[in-house]
Amino acid sequence: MAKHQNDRLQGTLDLLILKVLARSGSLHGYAIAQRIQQATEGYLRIEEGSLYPALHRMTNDKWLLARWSTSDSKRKARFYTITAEGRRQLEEEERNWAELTAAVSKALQFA
Amino acid sequence: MFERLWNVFRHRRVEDEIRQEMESHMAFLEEDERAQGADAQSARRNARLRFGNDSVYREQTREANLTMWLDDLLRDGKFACRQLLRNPGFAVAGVLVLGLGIGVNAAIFTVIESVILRPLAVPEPDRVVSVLEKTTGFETPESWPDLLDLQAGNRVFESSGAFTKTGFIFRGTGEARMIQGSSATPGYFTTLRVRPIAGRLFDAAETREGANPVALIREDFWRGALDADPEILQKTILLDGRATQVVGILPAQFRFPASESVIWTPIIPQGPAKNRGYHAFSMVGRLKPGVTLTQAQTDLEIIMQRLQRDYPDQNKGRDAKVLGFQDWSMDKQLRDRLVVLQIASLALFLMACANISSLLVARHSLRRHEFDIRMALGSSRWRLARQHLTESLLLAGAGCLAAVGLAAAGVHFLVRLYGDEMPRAAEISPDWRLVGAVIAITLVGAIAMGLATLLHSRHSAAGVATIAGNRVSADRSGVWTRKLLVVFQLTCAVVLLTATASVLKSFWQLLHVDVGFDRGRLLTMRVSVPPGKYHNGPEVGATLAKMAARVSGVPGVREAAAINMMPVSEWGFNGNVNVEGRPDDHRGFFAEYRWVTKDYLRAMGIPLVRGRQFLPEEMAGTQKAAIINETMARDLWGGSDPIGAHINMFSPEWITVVGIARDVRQSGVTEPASAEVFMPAPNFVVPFPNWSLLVRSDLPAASIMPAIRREIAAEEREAAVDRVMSMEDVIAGTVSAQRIVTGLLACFAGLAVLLASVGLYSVLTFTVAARLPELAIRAALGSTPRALLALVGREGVVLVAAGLAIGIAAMVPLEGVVKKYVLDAAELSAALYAAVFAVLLVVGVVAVILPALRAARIDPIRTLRGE
Repeated sequence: MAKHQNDRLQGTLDLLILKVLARSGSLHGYAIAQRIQQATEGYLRIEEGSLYPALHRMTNDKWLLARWSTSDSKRKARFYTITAEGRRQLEEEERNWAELTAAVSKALQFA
Repeated sequence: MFERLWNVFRHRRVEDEIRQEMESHMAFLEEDERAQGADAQSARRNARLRFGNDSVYREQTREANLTMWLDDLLRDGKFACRQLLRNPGFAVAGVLVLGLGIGVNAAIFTVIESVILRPLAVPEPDRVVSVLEKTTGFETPESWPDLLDLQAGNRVFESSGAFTKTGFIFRGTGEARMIQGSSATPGYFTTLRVRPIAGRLFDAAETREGANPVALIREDFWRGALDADPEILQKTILLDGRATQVVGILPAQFRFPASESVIWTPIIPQGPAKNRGYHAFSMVGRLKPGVTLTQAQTDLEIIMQRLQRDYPDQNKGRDAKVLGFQDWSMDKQLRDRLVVLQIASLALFLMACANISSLLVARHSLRRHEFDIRMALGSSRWRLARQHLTESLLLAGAGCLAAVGLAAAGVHFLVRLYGDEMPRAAEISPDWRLVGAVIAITLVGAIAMGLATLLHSRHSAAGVATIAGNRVSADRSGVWTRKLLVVFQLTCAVVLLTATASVLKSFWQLLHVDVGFDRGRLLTMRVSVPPGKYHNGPEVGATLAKMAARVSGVPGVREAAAINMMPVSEWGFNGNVNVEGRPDDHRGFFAEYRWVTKDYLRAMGIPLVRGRQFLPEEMAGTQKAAIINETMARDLWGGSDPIGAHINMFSPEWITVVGIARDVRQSGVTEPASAEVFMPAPNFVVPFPNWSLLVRSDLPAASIMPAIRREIAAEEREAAVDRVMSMEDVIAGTVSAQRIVTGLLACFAGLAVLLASVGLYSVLTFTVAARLPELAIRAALGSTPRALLALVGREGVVLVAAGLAIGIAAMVPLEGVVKKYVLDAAELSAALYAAVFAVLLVVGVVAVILPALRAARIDPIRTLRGE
């Protein structure tokens, strides 16, 4: 499958989704977007246009598992859960992220 | 992965899921809005606003699934089909041009591959070589003693043997008929490593003089002519009038020395055939592992030099020449002709590609509008590129299918045309790797063409402007590409046409060459006597002389005569000539020997330049005399008079020269006359059973042949008569290969001119269409039709001039290539260039004038309103 144009940005969204799902178990798309928005105190708003392609891609990559279920408000929705492979991917992405931010902040301090 | 592919089959479900998921998201948003106090209607509206363009998201989500990618491919395919069908003219033209371009190439290549490139069907063919003897201007087979010396003395062959091609008179259940085969030594079979599928090969006892006659037959001959008789190995067949024991059956794939060879007998040299001057046995050898051709050449040369010293009378000037067996068995003229055809067809293919590309570019320009709209609506460039690719792939695919059909038909056609002239015609079969390669090349070509058109769409990234108005944007880059393509096509047409014209010219000259004798109303046939009954040359010659005398008595026959080789088409009975009283350095002069019956020269209409005809006592064989031709008189005697001189050839006995005959084209229409000696038939030296009978008569063949056959049978009941044809047909037969190549080349050149003019026409038509508004404004502002005609005409004329100039410039370096590879090419004269120039100019002007007239007839008001 073709890589996204901006790997870093894509990676960031993947990382956030994986993290949210790792912490909260099973969530539908809307709830995932809500959680991320809440966790960043409204700073990051996830666009639906990026969210669903990402969810489907990660499902196809076997990082996530999707199934249809009913929400608390008795509404039918597609719920996503993280898989073991997804967790491994999360660890790696977290490490990458830490390295990147460390590198960027170093550059900002000394450049 | 399986799951994803499985998704292809349930793409509808996937799409439904995506839609449902989006809807549920929207519902959550709506709930959220309501929770914040909005009423039902505005909650829905706000949710929609917050969500954005769901169809774009759906599309993007779909693309995240591979499933959808394939689904899109299907959709693109359907759309491409519809696009092509909407414009059937374009589709048909494209498929035909591509199919023709690829098909012709594939057909010719298939023949080349099967006949020339494919290794011979023997184990380790690289190690099998052919050994010839080389003298000034000639390559000949070995003589029997030379062969034995080469076999004994060499250090390079693991095994070696020899063969000589012969025909046999076979009498099965029906009438006696000629079949082709060969005589060979046992070493021939071990060298080629053939194993009989039944029975055995020859043993040593069977190659001795006086042994019972034995034969090996080919499997297909056994199945066909002998009805697959299971007890054939216990039986004899009637071969050359003798009961011959069949000792083995060779596999049908064993087609050596020729594809028509179905029978082999042992070589048992007798009488003069054992002489060192009698060259009839072609040597083959299998190199020891690791030995190269050059090493073999050196080794055999040493032996030949020793033979030159030991036998100066017969071997002076004779050297060895070692060739790969495959090279030897290949007809070099045929190869050169096929290569020429292949080059011509490749040029045609390039033109076809240029033509299609230019059609695609034009189509793309016309569909600019559609693509701009799709881009403005959010279609990605990749998506559009895919659409392009799908369309060109579809076109190429259809072209490929057409090509495979055409190639199959083309191969069939070529085999029928060349028939007997192709040494390995029976082996021609499609090569599936080739089919694969053709398809791969086409696909690559299609992708290239698709991408080429895509390059043009890059400019229109901000093409939204064209939607607003400006409908026929002046797509100058597209026009330029097309113009270049047209010039390229014209250039190719010039080159093809010039080369073809030179070949046509030489073919014309060939047809009208003076063969040196009267070719009209001359009937020819081959007469074969059963070799089993005739053990020496004089017996054969005397019988033929009696037959000719009988036939000349048939009512309606004016003259009849026989000769041991058919004039114009056969040659190869030759050897050294020595002149009495000359020093040694005249040894090695080479001449064709011909034995003729009484009235041969008169029947053929060959005048004597000097001297006299044979006297009756000379014709009876009691007194030895010879008539030589002009070439021989000139080459051996120069200014002095050869009449009365004494010569000898195959035996020490001196023969008196009594006359000089005019030169004729004995060895082929294209071959200049070589030195020849005519001798009376009863002096024939070997019991070679096949002679040619020539009958001059005003009656049609059908009405006199029964009487002629009766007279021949009355002289010899077992004689076979075949190959009955007029001398005109014999001559035509010798140039049939040229006729075919010339015809095919003329077809190619015609197609090239057609393609080039269609290309020119379409590019100008398109330019006129694109410039209609501009032309209309010019007309409205007072331009006369004549000025408009000139305006468009000038554009076309520039293209034609450019194409012609480049084409003729290209011929300067190519002229040498044409002369080198097209054996029959005539001199490229200025007149020839002028003719080509004129043809293309006329065609070009016609292609230019039609669109130009359209421009001239423009109605400004209607055009501008339409805009």
